[in-house]
Amino acid sequence: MSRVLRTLCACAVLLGFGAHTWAADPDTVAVISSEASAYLEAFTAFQKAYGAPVRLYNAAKGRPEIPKEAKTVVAFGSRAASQNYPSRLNLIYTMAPGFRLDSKTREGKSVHISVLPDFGLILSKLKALQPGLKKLYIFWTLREFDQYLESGAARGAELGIEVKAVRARTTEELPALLRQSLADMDAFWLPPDPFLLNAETLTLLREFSWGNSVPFYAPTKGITREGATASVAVSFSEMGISAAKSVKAVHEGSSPAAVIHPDRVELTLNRVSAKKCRLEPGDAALRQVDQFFP
Amino acid sequence: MHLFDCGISICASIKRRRRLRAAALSALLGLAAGGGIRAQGLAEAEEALWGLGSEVVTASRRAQSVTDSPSTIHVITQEDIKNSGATNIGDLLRMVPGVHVKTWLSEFSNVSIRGMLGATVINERILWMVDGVPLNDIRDGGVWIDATYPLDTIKRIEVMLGPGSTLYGTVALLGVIHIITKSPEDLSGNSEFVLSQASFDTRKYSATYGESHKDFGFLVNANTNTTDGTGLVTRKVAPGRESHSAREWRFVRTKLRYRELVFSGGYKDIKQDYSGAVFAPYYLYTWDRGEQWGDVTYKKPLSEVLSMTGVISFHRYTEHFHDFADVPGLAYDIDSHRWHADFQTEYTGLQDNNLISGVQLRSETYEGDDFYRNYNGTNYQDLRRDNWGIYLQNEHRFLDNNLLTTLGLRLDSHPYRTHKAYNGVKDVWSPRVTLIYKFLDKKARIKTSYGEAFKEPANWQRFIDQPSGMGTPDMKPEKAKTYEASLGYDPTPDLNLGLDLFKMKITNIIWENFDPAVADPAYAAYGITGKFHPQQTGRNADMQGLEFYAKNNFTPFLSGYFNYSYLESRDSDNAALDYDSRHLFNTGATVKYRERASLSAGVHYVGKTIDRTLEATPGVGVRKVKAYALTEAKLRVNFYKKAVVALSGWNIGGKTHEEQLGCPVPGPTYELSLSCPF
Repeated sequence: MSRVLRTLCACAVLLGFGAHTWAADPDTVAVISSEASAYLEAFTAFQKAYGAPVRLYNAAKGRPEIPKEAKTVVAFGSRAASQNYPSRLNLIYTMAPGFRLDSKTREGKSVHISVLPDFGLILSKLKALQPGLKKLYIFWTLREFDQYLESGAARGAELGIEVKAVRARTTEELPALLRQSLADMDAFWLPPDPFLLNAETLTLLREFSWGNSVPFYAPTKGITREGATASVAVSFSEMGISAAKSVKAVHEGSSPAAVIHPDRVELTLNRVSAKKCRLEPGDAALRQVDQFFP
Repeated sequence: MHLFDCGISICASIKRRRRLRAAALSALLGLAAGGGIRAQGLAEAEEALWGLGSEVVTASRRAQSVTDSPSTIHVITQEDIKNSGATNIGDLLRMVPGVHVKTWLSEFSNVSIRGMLGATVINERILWMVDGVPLNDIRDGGVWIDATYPLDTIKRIEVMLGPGSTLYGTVALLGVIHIITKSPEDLSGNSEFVLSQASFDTRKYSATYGESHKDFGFLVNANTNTTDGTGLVTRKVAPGRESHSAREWRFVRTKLRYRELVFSGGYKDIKQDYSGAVFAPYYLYTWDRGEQWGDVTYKKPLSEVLSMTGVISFHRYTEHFHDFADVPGLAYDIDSHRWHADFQTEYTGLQDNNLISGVQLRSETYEGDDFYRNYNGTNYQDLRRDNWGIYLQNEHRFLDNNLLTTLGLRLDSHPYRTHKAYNGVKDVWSPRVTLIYKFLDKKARIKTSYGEAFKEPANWQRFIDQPSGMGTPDMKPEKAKTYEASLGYDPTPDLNLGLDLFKMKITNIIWENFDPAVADPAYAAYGITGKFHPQQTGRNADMQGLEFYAKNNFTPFLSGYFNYSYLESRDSDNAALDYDSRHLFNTGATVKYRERASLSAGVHYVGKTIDRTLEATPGVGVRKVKAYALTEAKLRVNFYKKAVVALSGWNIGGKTHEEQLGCPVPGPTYELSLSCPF
């Protein structure tokens, strides 16, 4: 008898959780590229900032079936953003650095929440960390970054930094480009280029940086944790929050900019890497650092 | 100037990126309709970019990082498999700290986790899973570990040390070994042939093809293999005969995916001829094994905060013995199958919290000839066993994710008992609790845990279909209570250090014993007296020890690992357990030259042990098994496009030596393989 009671209690607990559902906001639907923790982190922040529960789809598990009453889709990641959504829908997308939407073909509004802050903000933070920074090399492959990097040259000039953008046509060119640029560079930075940054190239870049005492500046906090010298990055949560603000703005009838660069950034510094690169930021600069590794 | 004058290695994933980039460029040029291919490649690269770290799924039945895992877990990656000189899964597992491996009958591996190695026959105290579905055999409760499991289909192996019953129920007593196989997405649009020729005239041919689209994907792997075998029990060859262990095996595995629905199915067919060797009290026999299976997995989010996973699987195992016990024409057939259903939900509605709950149902049916008159007075067994289990586990994160707690509980019940000899398995509760605290900016962590696990008697142990065999008088489940404390520290991204301490008590050990009236004369004729598994005569066992491990990527071209395991294991009579070595260490390194070549080498040291099989035999007593080391090496050369030729060696320079029952560990073995992906 006691076993039956225990079992019934356990079933009741399970059913209690299973029956728990929220009444989702019919206007907004969120789509994540997969259940990877980065997307979930951004979505959680979005949900909190938006203030009302929204229906969530995982694009990795199949085509999202968007309800007819939905007005806006918030997509996290390029797989989510590249779904064939009805043209009438507003589309807010983020965490998709290699994806660009052709907004001209859409009836609804589209907003790209960039994973990068304003370039000037990045450069000013890096200059604070490395006052002697005069020549910053940038390596990238994706054309989607062209416009952003062009703006970097002008912003750099204002801060006394010569920004030299060197595009690699393929990842195989990266070692040669690093070698060729070594004598001329004070530091190098990479945008969040999915085709250029991965676990193996990260090891290579870190070794290059440490071996030659050249600071390697990264586009995400996670890469700093893995050995880049520092990063000036928008957190996943911040991207979610910016997406929520944009959805609200769109629903209120305003027209946000086509591309939004969040202005809240995190400066992270890897002490081990900084030491290897002989980078000794002053106290004022260190006070700006939001997180240290290790 | 320290620069990569020799050129910088473009590693495997860069090659992948090249493919992805080619897809991207194709799309840009308008060659791919709708940008679908580009988007797919981009999405994969993008997820990798977000630096999610290595994730494991075994410890909590959900994806999480190794550092957040409530259990001690080690991962053998695809890269490790590629670089290892091991050609079977048993030898591959030697590299994992805390895992003890012994060669058995020259061709099989006994695998145990943190001790009890001598108590295992076919590794029945470990839960073996493939893609989340139990693999353990229905008759013996374990898995025959030998060369017949193809390594080229494996994506990674997660090895969980310590109790696993809170989530998995029976058999996960000492740990869980979870084989994750490749998915259609891993080979999308690619195929691979692998041909190899190895010592003992072993030939393997394997082909794999995978294709993946948005909603649909499939993967097929087929292989066929033959070997003359190392020869078993060479010291006891029957007069006038040769010991050999010729074997043929075929394996077909398929995976089909339609949206969230994944079907995995296949079959395995092994023909083994062991005649000639004497394995007391009769010559070994010709023995065929077969396996067919079909698993369906469905994962779906039910709401914003609730997702479900459902698994239904059917596994059938057949065994056919020819000329059993040297009686011409005597066949012995076993046909068993298992239905397994698993329904799990994950609730994430509370902040910093993951709650999983699930129900597992299992029904096993065993039918087989039995040459020994059984409890029913017949020579045929027809048994069924049903079990259900229900579990709940909550993980909560405090202090900005620096403090992680895990609480779990499971109830297993056996409502149907169909055999009067099967008189003991009542309800079993399996709790666990784990506390992890991270410090030094999450680079260091301490973990303490307590968990209970159990193993119910295998079907074979319920009725013992051996002449002279008898089971433990009561068939209550074995239970293990384990305390663990761990310290992990990753001072740099490339260096991972860890120390695990454990203390485990196992009670109510199930053993198989001989009926002296029947067995002793027959076995004595071959110089064997005493117990079948003598080290199990104590009803309890105490294990304690530690594992230290270090892994380092020194440069992009050089990586290495070292681990050391110390173990003290004693039974309730305070006697050391057979084959449980106090000292094990493993070390290995891999050097790469660009993407063109790599050279790996490793050493696996096993300290001295004891063997009490012949303890009661006058003039023999307790046999001391000497310490030994196995060396391995592998050279891989990418000689044309993606084609790779590899030469691997195992036990290089080592001698043939005995661990048990005159079944020698084979001497040096070599394999030359060619893999051609396209």
